[in-house]
Amino acid sequence: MPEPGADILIVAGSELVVSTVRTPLEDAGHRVRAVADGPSALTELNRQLPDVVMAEWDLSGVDSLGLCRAVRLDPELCGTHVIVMTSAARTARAAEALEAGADDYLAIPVERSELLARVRTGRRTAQLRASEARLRALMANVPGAIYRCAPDRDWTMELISDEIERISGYPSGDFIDSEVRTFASIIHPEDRERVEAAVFEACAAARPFVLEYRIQRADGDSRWVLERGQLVHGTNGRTWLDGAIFDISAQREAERERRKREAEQARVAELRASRARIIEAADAARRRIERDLHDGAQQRFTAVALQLRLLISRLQRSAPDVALPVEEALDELQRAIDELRELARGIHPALLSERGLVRAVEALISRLPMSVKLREAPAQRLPQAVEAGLYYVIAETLTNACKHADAGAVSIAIGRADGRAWVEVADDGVGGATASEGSGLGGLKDRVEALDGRLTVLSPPGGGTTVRAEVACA
Amino acid sequence: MRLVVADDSLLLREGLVRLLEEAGFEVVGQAGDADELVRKVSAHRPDVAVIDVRMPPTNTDDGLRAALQIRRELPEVGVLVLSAYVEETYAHELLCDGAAGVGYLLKHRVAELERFTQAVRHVGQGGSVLDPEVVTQLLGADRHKDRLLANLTPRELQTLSLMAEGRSNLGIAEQLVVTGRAVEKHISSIFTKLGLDPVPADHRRVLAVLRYLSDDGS
Repeated sequence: MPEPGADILIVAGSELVVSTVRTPLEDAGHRVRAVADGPSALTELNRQLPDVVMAEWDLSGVDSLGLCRAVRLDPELCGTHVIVMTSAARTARAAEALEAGADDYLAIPVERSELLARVRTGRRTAQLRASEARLRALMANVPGAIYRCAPDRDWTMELISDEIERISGYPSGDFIDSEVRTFASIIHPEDRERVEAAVFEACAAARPFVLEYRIQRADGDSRWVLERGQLVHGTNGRTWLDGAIFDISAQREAERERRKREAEQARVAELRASRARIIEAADAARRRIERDLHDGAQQRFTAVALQLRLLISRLQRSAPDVALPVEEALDELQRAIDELRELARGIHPALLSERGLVRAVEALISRLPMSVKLREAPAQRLPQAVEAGLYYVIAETLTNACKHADAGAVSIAIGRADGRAWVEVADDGVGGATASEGSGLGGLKDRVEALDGRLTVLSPPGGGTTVRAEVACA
Repeated sequence: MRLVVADDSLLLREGLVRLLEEAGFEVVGQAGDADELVRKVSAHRPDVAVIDVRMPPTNTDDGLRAALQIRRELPEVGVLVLSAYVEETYAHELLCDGAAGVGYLLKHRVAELERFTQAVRHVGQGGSVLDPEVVTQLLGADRHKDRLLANLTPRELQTLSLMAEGRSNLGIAEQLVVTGRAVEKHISSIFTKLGLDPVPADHRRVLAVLRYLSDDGS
C-alpha cells in the first residue's frame, strides 16, 4: 500500500538545490514547501509543523546549525525530522551537523531512490517521535502511575511515571530496576499474596486484570489503590506487564461513608416503619374489638333485652307480681348495654371509619359538657392512619381539657397543606401541661412521631394549653 | 301494617319479629344483609322497613346506605333505622331529603316496647322519629348557649326536644302531662323566639327544628 505524501519543508539558498530535491519529491506525491533562510524556516515551522525539514548546510543566508538547535530545543518543534544537505565534497562536515541536532544528512546531488528512501525513513522517525511525545504527555497527565515492569515477583520496573511518588511517597526512581526497593515491597502484607495470585492467574490466562489493594506509604499510612494491567509482548521475545495504578483512597472512604449513611438511614426508616406498623396494628385491634363488641355482646344483650320485654308483657297478663323484678332486671341490662356502647365507642368510634375525622370529631364534641368549636376542617377525607392519629390527639387533648385544664372554651382546627396534615387544639384553661413520658400527651407524641410527625405542646401556667400535631400526609 | 325487618344477627332479628308480631304488625320479609333488604323491600313494598345500620357485605354502614336508596327509589316506604350509636351525621343524611316516613333510633330502644312500636307505627304513617339522644346531642352541646335557645323556658326546651324527636302535639301533651292547648302555646312561643316560620305538620316541624339546631351559629 503506497504511503500518503509527507509534508516537507526545504530550506535552501540556491535554486539549484531546491530544484534538484523538490521535483523528485513532488513527483513522488509529497507536499513540498520551500524557504530561503533560517528565520523564514522558523516561521514556516511554527505555522505548520512538517514531517521532514531538509536544510542546506551553511549556504548563503541559512544558519543550518542554528536551525537544528532551535528545532531541538523547542518541544513544539522537536517532533519533526531534520535532514541536513551538504555538497558531496563536504560530507566530512556531516558529523558537525548531527552533533548540532540534525537527524540525518544527505550529500547533494543525490540519487532519486536514495532521496525518497531517506525521506520515508525520516517521516517514520518523526511519527514515532510524535507518538512517544503523546505517550509521555499522557503519562505525565494521567492521575495515576503508568508503569511497565517485568512479570516477576518483585514487579521490577522498567519505567513508572512520577505520579507514583504522590501515591506512595517514594520517588519513581526507587523502583526502576528495583534500584532502592521493589514495588512488591510496598504492597500491604495482608494483600500481597492475593495480588500476586491474581496477577499471575491473569497473566497465565492472557487476560487483563483489575485489582484493588492497599499499599504502605513512605509515611507509614495505608492507601487503597486500583491497578489495571495486562501482559504484553515486547521486542526480543521479552514480555512485560503494562498498566496503571490509581489512588482510590478518597473514593473508598467516600463509599464507606455513603454505605454507613445509607445503613443508618435504613435503620431509622425501619424503626419508623416498625413504629408505624405497631400503631397501625393497635388501631386495627381497636377496630376489631369495637366490631366484636358490637356484633357480639351488644347484639346478644339487645336480643336478651327483647326476650325479657316479651316475657314481661306475658307476665303482666298472667303474673303481674313477677313482672316487676324482671322489669328491674331489664332496666339493669339496659344500663349495661349503655355502658358497653360507650366503652366500644371509646375504643374506636365507628363513625371515624365510616364518615371520617371531621364527622367523628363533631360527634365527639357534641357529647362533651363544654363549649368546643371546630373552626377549621378539611373538605376531603385524609388517609386512614392519619385520621386515626389526629382523632386520638384531639380526643386525648379534649379529655385533658375537661379533666385537668378547667377550661371554659376550646377551639379545634384541622388542616392539610403541602403534604402535611395538622391539628391544633387550644383551650383557655390553667395551662402547665407537659408531654412527658407516661402521660397521656407522651403517648400522643409516640403516635404522632410514628406518622413522621411532630407534637408540640404550648402550655404556660395560667396561659391555656395549645396542642399542635403535624404529620406527613401524602 | 306490613313490615320488612333487616338485621344480620339472627337472634336479634327473630326477637324483633316476634315482638313486632305480638304488637300486631305483619312481618312480610326478613333480610340478613343490605342487598337482600333492598330486594325484599322492592318485592313486598312494606309500610315500614326496620333496618340495622351495620350489616354485611362490608359491616360498616351498609344498612344506612340501603335505607337512603329505599328513600330515593321507593319514597312511599317508611324507613326506621336502628343503630348501636346514634350520630348527628347519620340523622342529617337520613333527613336531608325530607323527614316524612323516617325514623332513627338507638338499637336498644327496641326493648322499650311501647315506645318502639309507637315509633314504627308513626313512621308507617309518614311521621318522623328521632332518638332523644340525637336531640340531646343537638341541644346539649354548649355551642348553642350564646344563641336564642337561652331565651327558652325549661318547659319550652322540653317541648322543643319532643318536637325534634317527632312527637305529635298530643304525644307532647301526654309526655309533659299538660293540655293540648298548652303545648300549642309553647310551640308558638318557641317558633317566635327562634325566628322560625310556623309549620303545622309534625314531620316538617322536625326538619325546621333540626335545621335550626344543626346550623352552626354562623
